[in-house]
Amino acid sequence: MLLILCPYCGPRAEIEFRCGGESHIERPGPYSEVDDGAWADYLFTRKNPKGEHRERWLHAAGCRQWFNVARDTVSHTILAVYPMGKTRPPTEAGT
Amino acid sequence: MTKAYSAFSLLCEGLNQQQGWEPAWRDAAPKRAYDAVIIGGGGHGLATAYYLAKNHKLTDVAVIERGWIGGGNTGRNTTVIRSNYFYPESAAFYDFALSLYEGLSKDLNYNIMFSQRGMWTLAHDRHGMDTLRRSANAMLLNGIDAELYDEAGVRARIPGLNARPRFPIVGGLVQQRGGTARHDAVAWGYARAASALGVDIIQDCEVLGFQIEGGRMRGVETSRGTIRTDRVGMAVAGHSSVVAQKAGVRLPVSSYALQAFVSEPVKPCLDTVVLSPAIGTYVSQSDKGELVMGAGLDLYLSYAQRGSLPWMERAAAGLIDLFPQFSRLRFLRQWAGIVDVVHDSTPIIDATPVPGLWINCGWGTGGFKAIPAGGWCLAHLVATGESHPLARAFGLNRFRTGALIDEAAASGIAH
Amino acid sequence: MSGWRLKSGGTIDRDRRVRFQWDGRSYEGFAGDTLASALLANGISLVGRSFKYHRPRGLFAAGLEEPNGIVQLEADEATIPNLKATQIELYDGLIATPVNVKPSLEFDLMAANSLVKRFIPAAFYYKTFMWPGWHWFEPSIRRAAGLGTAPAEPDPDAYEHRFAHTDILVVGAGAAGIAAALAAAESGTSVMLVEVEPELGGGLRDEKQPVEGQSATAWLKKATKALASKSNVTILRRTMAFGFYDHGLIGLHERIADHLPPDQRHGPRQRLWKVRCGQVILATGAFERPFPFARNDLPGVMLASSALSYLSRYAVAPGRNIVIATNNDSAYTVGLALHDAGIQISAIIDSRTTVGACARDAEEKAIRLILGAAPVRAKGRLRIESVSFAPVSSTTETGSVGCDTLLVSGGWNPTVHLHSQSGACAASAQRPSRPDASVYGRPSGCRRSLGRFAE
Repeated sequence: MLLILCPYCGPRAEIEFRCGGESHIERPGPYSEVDDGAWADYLFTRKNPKGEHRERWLHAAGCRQWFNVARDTVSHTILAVYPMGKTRPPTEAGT
Repeated sequence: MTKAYSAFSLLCEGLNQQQGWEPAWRDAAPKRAYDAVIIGGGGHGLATAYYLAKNHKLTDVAVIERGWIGGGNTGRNTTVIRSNYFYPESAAFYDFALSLYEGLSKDLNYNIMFSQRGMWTLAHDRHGMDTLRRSANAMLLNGIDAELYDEAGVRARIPGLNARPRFPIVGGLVQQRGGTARHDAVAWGYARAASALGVDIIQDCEVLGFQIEGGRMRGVETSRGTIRTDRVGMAVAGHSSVVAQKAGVRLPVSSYALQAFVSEPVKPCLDTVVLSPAIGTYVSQSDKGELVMGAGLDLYLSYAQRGSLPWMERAAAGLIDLFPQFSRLRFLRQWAGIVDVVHDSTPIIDATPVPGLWINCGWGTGGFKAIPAGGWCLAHLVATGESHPLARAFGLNRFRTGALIDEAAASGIAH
Repeated sequence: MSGWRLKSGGTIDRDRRVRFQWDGRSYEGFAGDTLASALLANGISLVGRSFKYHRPRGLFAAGLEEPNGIVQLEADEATIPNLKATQIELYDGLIATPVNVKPSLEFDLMAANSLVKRFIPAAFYYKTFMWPGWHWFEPSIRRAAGLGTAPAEPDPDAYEHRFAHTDILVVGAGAAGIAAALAAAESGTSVMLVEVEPELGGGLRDEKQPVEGQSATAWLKKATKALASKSNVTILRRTMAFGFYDHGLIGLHERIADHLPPDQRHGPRQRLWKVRCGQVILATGAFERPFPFARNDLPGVMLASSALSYLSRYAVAPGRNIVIATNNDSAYTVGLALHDAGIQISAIIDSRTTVGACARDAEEKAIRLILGAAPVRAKGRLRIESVSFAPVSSTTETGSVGCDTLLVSGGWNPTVHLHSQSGACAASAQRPSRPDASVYGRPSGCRRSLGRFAE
């Protein structure tokens, strides 16, 4: 069971959170110029990396705030936690 | 042809000090080139190779496997086979798989122990019952056997259910043709039959990259050297994104860890498969006597094939609510398999943007029951370049057109 | 005749006799016995049957590595299948029965399987039962499989969950674990020490060698007292660490009331702990390896270290005429201890051709040494009667020794289960698997572990 560092509440167990999937997905636009392929990519295609992954988490059973996490999908080591709206900071493991 | 398996061959070999058996399959070294290469030595990959050889007479085929055959999800699932799907496309496909399973032991000359002990889905409230009624109607319309029972009917057929569960049992739906099979035997049986037809099974052979020339597939670079081929079929489940990436192909797939557990072996105490979507647990008893239990996904990306605690607790709590007498049994093992989840919980069997590379993926939590049909249809694709009629709806294009087959909502699939 | 109770010794309480039932007959043991030690003391050598051929099986070990003494405890709604006799602490009125035998342990009809074993080799079931269909055969195969019987009634007992946080969790309270816990406790951090046995000590409970200049018993007593006096140390006995999960989460299974007679049990029977740890120290020790030879599963064949446990904890001798087969020095310690307790050691068969000081000790006690040889075949029907041996390089038997007990020691395997499950590689046991784990004592390859921890 993961131990996730909520930036607002501190370290809490995985069962208090919901993972919201990949971070930093940009909605394509303007709407009139987006073809079906780009829209399908936006909706469905994911990086799904074996290794470092940037993802959004919600502290659902806590402060109900969203935040970003960089996590290794093999070891589950959490490399960084950073607020929504921020772009990816370099991580210790990644740099 | 390897020696046929039968009671008679066991008798002969018993008298012959077991000296006449041959290895069930040849552990081959890779040749420099093949007509076709199948990546992934799990059930789907081995079945693909077998049907390429059997149905399409394509025998210059290699199955390459990073670890050992059947060591991925084929060896990690909870062995349930059923075809109780909602949409006609899924129902036809999974029922074809089930019908192949029914004849598979004889076809492969390998006892896969398919035991049609029934597959129950329980409902715990009126709305659950409405959903089951809808499923039953859809199944009957699709020509699949389905029987709906009220509480008394369920209790008469599943002895030992809790008399006073926390979530009352209102009724249940059973597919009598559903059941379980010996999962390892499915991989080994396909491997043996494919090998006998000339297929090379190459273990400990990891894909490092692809040789794509002029935009089309020309070969596979592996940890055991380069293999030239114009046709590559890929059936690597949870690692689909990783392998496809090496060919520059991106997929609408996410990889999650699916948790499973078995208890210690006990004498027969459960004669069917029981699933309760509301409680989040399902259970059957293996021939060896273990209670085999599955739970849900850890809902964050993972390539770690490790057991985790939250689902184990939840599934155990669910089991004990259904069968309180099992509370004193102990878990023997837990593990996880990495499953390839697609948004509509429907598989992908299709060509990729790279000509000469075809994929079979997106099985999510339910790949084992589909093995014969998944292999059959991928073999058809690799051999003919055309989608098999049963798999036409399972194309990559559906994410672009919106023609999703949303079994996640329709059949209440766990992911 | 086989196992027996010595007149003195052990840590059992000889003033408290405990009555129990095994396989429908009544026996007596002492408080402090396990079911296994009490059975052994009562001369019972047949405790189970093998899974497929129903070959007779006797007690092989003294702890959780026991493969044969698998029993059904109690009856009706309180029954528990498949417990190891070596892990059941004896209480008054205990009822245990063998599993998977019909009609009885001594006369098991399924042993007929071994008559046709040439026709049912490994994996035979994949090769047959296909015609007319698997469903014709499956019910009888299922009935033959499984070990004990699941209860048919709801569980009458209550259970508990508990969360805990600790800076350091030490798994295993042998010499290494205790030393680690003591050292950690000195620095003031919170420490949990977890031991699967009812007593702390691990191998020290049997050890005769001095530790830090004191007898093992004295060191253990002092260390246990020191740990108990520290407010930052929690000691959990009868507790198994069953899982090493992500981010320092350890699952513990504590048996709270199982060792008490049913009428004295109050509150929960067992407790599930979920402990989040800053650092996990695996001091899980090692298991002794068996020896491969024909019929090495005959009752009367036992791990050498287990015989020492039975002797020093329960004052039980596994037999009256003992042969030891070994490839390392540790079994000599066992042989000498048994000899000193007045038990006949007829021979030590050692696969090595040159043996150091321990061989001289054995020769001084007039124990016959057979060097450069290994056991080839155990003989006997329901219990070993003799063992034949051959030079290591051949299988031609060059001799045979009569015995009622054969103790084997094929070396030691580190207990790497938690280490491996945490995602590490067993071959790298000396290296911590993750930032939150470290390995001390025997799993790290050290025979004597105190020195290593001091590093």
